[in-house]
Amino acid sequence: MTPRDPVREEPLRDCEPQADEKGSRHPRPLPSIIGSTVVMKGDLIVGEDLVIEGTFDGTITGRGADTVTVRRTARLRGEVSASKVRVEDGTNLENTVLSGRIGRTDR
Amino acid sequence: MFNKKKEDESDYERTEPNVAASPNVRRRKTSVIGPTLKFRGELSANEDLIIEGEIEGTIAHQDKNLTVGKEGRVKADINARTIEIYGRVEGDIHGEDVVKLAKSADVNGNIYCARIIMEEGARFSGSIDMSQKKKAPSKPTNLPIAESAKQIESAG
Repeated sequence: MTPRDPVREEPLRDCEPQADEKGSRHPRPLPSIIGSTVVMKGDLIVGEDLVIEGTFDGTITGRGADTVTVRRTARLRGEVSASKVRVEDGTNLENTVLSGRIGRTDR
Repeated sequence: MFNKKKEDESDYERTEPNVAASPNVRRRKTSVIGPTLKFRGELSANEDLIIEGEIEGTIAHQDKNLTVGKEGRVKADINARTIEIYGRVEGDIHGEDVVKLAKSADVNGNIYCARIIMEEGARFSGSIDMSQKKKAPSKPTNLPIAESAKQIESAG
């Protein structure tokens, strides 16, 4: 596999907000993106898609039909529970408990 | 009257969806705390941040722009270079450069900044300090949270 850093340059496809080209004032809710320089420590509850690229220490709880995507730049410690958890290849998941429908992703 | 109403759809309405949707902005590093997200704890970042959800705790943001969107509810002291508030904030706001309160803003706390923009209709309760002396916003490197990040990295 060819190196494809930085990860951020890659399109996030289904996680990317579906911008309404007609300029609707009510686009679908934006997914949350925890960027690579973000450090969070605490408890998080989310009801929409979430992409984690940064450092998170604590619990992440998904409510509803949400997908939590963990990118390989992420540093996690704690627990992630959501209906779907996607983990990018190469992600370090030591010290992390995942629960839900867990899948791998290479993007 | 009607013209005024159009203006009410402030520039935030027009720019906000583009900010998150544009791939260019993703490359510029922008984190988004979405409207259904609730977080309690410590947050630090070194990239632009848009908050549409609820945050309670501390926000230590370094030299970047922070936007509290219309749906944003923040109970925390905020440090950043440029801070734009469209939602509700309870806590002190330390803006190294500009602090902007939009007409939909509801702020309960003190503001420390070099420059301020307050739109007509913004709700604000507190004091504004524009004296030049640096308030020395807390840097993430001094926070326990930064230690926690190091620990996680060294463990990985």
